[in-house]
Formats: sequence, structure tokens, C-alpha cells
Amino acid sequence: MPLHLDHSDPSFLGLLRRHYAELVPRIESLPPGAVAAVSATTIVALTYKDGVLIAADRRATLGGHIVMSEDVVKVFKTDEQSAIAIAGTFGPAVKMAKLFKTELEHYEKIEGVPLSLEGRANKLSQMIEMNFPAAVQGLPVMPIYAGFDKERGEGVIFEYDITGGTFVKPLAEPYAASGSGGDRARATFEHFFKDDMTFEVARDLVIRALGFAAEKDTATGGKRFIVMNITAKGVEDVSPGKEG
Amino acid sequence: MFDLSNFISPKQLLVMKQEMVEDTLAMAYPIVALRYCDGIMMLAENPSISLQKTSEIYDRIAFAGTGVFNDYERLRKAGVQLADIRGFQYSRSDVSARSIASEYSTVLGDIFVRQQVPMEVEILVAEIGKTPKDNRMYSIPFSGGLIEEQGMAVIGDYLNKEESILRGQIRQFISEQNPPADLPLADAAKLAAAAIGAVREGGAINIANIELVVLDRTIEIERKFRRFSSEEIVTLMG
Repeated sequence: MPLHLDHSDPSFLGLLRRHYAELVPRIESLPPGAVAAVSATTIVALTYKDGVLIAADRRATLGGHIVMSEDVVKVFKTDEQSAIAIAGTFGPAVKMAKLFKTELEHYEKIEGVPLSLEGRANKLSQMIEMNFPAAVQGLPVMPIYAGFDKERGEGVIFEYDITGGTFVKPLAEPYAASGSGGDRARATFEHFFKDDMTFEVARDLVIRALGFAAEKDTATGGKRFIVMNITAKGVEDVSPGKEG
Repeated sequence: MFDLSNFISPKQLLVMKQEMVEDTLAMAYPIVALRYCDGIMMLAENPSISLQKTSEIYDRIAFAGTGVFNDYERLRKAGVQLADIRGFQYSRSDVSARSIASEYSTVLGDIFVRQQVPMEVEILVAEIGKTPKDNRMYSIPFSGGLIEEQGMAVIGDYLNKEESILRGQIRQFISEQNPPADLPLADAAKLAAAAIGAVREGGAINIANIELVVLDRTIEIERKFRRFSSEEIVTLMG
């Protein structure tokens, strides 16, 4: 593994493309007739008074009805002020989250300053777009990215479609939901959302939204959830069962 | 292309290159790395605010370079790339200072022998282990040697010929104080600054020109590297 001495590009993905093409995540499509790949749902994010919560269930399914695991992790802390949740095809989605985390860290170390929140969201959009050929073949990756914007002093959510199209919250609405149970989770938010919720109220609402999704969606697990709290102080795991 | 090696013996060529680099490094600021109670600290004299001599390579690994800025900056970035590639390809725990230092040594050795102008640098790679016993420090000179250091390392201020080598005096100054393994950070930083100040022309370093970073195993996240701001340095050492 030689040292490369060309450094015009601070991007980790750019480095992979130039020198380690074999490590660039690339799944084109499933062969026709193959059993569908393992997929992961449901993910949600919700802004509140002090920041933003991002959460997911822990089930991974094959074809939407065979439970592969009740223990998968779909929410990843990406740095000290943001986290990503992933829905869609499990393999590429987890790889994308890992690549994204490395990308942020790499940029910060090479340049000496972290990327802006908007810069990170754009980078993620490009990665999703890169996965588009696989997405149209039935292997979509649809993340939600949430972070604390220190300049604006509030939590911000970025929701994506499979082409990398970016929807910035709370400009449109102060919450996001994605994955197969996303519709029910979103409906829960629409009913119960209030401005300036406290942390406890917001966390209960997030858990309730995931619970409603799990009730009717077999691809969503109802037993265990991961919830991350992102505020000016950093990213904290506040999953049920963690407290005390 | 005109190639000197057609006209000069290889030995003579290496001596010429060595003299050239030593002349540059004689003007480089020294950097001291020292073990303290929670990890390893690195202290440098650096009048620049944003052009740093010390930096983060990976979770538990830090880098320091002195000499010509563009040379050590390129090496620093190459080290970050290597570490991130390895951590991405395998796992975070598979990234080690030893393998990065060995790559640096290979590259610097190759460049010194094969290129007309060698890199005019001296660099240091430090890693904190789970316990102080597992700390690692490697210094790598411009010619590509790899030296493992224990508890303390000094790079820079490499004076040549008959002049005394200040680096040796900095080492001696610190050794004479016999710093214990549980030395608090403030004392370690003061000792390093005093050692540089004792041999430096013009006496003590201006505190505004001190650059201080640590690898601190008590930091709770994966990345154990921390840079002190100039205000924090004044509070700590003032």
C-alpha cells in the first residue's frame, strides 16, 4: 500500500476512485429471479427545542416478510454534531453510511477544518446519486441525515429520494420519515407534532411513531429502537433501555 | 534530462544531498513529544496560527513535522490517506503507527536516494496505547531511517558540523529532570517549553508561539487527538 503524494482533492471517495477503484462501493443490480436482498426500515427524524432526534427500528428483512435479524443498527453517529439513519437495501446502505463517515473525517483531517453541514448534506446527495443505477434495479438506499447547525442554533434534517434529491427540513416540515413504515410514522408526526417540544416529549413521539409503523408494517420491528439525540453539546445515544 | 549521477560518484552525491538538507533543518523549529499521565503531548514553537506542525492522523495516532512546510504537509496528508484507507478497508483497530511510520521511512528513503532534491523534513509519528506501556513513538529523518523512541522524542534543530546539536541538549535537559510516568499535562508542557527555551537563542519561547496537541486516552470518543487553543495554552501553562 504505497503513499500517494497527490493531494489536490480532500475527498476520501475521490481518493478511492483515483487509487483504490476496487474499494468503491458498486453493486449494479441483482440477477433476474434472485431472492431480494436484505432490506432495512423504518427511519425517522424530528426536530425539537434543543436540537434533533434521529431514530430507527432494529429489524432487517428478506423480501419484507422474513426476519433476518432484530439487532441491526441503522443509525450511525457520523461525527460530534451529526448522525445518519439508513433505509433501503441493507448492504449498500450500511456501506454508504461508513463511507460517508470516513469522508467527513477525512476532509476534516486533510483540510484542518470540518465541512459545513450543508457541504456534508451535498456530499451525501452525490453518494446516493452514485447508487442510482442500483436503485432503479430494486436496490435503493434512502438515508436521513440530521445535524445541529451551530450558526443557526437549531437541528436540521436532510431527507433524500433515490436520485439524491435533497429535502431540507424544517423549511418544509420539521420532521422526516422513510422506509416501508415511513408513511405511518409521518402520519404520527403530522397528528402530534407541536412547536418547541421538550426533549422528553419529542423522544416519546419518536418512539410512538416507530411503534405505529411496526404495528402494521411487517418489515418494521416493534421491540427495540435506536434513538440518537443531537444538540449543541454533541450526539448522544438515548435509546429506550439505555437510561439509568 | 540532465542527471547529476552521470558525473558524480553515488557516495559524493549522497553527501551533497545530506549537507543540503542539514543546512535547511538547522533552521527548523524543534518539536518535543513527551509522555504524560493521560497519554502523549507534543509541543512545538510555531509563530504561524493556521499552518500547523502537529496534527491528527487517526484515532490514536498523531503526526509532527519540521523543516520545509510543503514537504511535511504532503507527508502528513499521505499519512491521513493511508490511515483512512486502512481503517475503511479493514477496521479502525487495524491502523497502527508502526505501519504508517514504516511507509514514511520507505518513501523518504526512496526520495533521498533517487531524487535530485530530497525532502527537507524530519517527522514524528506517535500512538497512544490502551496502557502507557503500549505507547509508540517513531522519528523518521529525511534520509529514511526509522527510530523508535521511548517516553520522549525530539525532532528539528538539527545542527551540523562542529556546532553542538541542540536536539541532544533538549533531550538531556528533559532527562535530567527525570519526568515520572504520571506527570500531569501542565508540568509536561512546561518542561518541554523550558527545555527548548534553555537551548534556544533568545531564551524562553513566547507563549503566544506555542503549539500544543495531545493524544489523551481519557477522551471518551474514538478520536483521542486534541488541539489546544492559544487561550487554553495560556490557562494551562501561564
